[in-house]
Amino acid sequence: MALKQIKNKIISTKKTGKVTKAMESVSAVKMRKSQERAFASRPYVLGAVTILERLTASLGSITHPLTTARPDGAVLAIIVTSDKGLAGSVNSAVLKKAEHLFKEHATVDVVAFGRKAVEFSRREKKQLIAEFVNVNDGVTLADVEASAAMVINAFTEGGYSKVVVIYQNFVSTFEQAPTVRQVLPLIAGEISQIAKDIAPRVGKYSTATVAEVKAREYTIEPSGAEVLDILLPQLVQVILYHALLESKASEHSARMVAMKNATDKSKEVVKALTIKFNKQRQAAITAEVSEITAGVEAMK
Amino acid sequence: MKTFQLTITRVDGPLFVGEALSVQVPGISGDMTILAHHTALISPLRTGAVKVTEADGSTREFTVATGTLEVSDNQATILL
Repeated sequence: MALKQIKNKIISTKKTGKVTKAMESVSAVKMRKSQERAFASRPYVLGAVTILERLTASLGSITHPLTTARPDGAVLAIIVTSDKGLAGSVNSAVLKKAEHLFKEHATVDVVAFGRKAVEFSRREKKQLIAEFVNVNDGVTLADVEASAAMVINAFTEGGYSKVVVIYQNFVSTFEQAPTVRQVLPLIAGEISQIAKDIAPRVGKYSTATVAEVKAREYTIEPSGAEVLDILLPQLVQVILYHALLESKASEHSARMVAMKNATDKSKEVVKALTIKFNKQRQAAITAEVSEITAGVEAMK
Repeated sequence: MKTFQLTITRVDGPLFVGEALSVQVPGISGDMTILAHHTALISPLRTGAVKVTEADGSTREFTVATGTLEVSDNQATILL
């Protein structure tokens, strides 16, 4: 490679390094915010899940359209990814889970959150029931109200056998776990599993323990059926909201780590290229000097 | 007077955590006041105000659009 080319390569690598460094800092800030939000919502989600768990225990067997299992039918998959890439394997891990689901079930329709999920479903030629892109980092419970209502409606009217949500569960900055959760029909076992997953294994929120559920007699005002009518849709909202927050936190964490790796790598490449550049420059000088001395010798 | 543990929390964080003498809530089938050692109860809430009387007698008020109240073991949880 010519000297000039190496020099240009060094310059462009340095520039890329600067960009990734900037992206790293931006992601670090976003990560902190979205992690805080994800953690702040955990007590609420836990509370909501616990209430339903106790309600289930108290009512014995509950019969409600949203808890009744259907033997056959299509599956509705809610796939939660990010809008943008350059975030390591967060999205591809989720999409791999989705692919797995597509193989298991004959018909799978998709509700996509995030551009990557939309593109993926189009590529796989799956029917997109709804798509939500550019979901704000500061997503609120009110924002998911409409999408939750749509999902519930699709389940009750659309004849789906089940609704699952696929998202990245945030474990720590360096670890995210792609997770598949059944949203509908709501099963007690699945609900308590969600409650268990909510409490992080490490960190300052890991002390939140999940209280054992005791089957007790609750007074239910006004009646079991009416309470379920109100509580179950709320719980679906909460589960969706939780999935969105967790995947946001995962996305920013993964992007920060990916960008940090890229910055480190660019520094390494610059170092290697500089050594190569210096060696070649030295070789060129040596060649020139020997040419001149050879010329001088010849003139004698 | 006896107190009970009260937690009022929203999705974006807890609003009130502590001991309370009583809490008045707009239950879906009528307003009610929860005192210490209330029987185990689950009820959705409708739009209105939640009035908390804290252990030192001072009162605080929160507005609620929708929510759920759960009482058991001398603990009350209100999710807004």
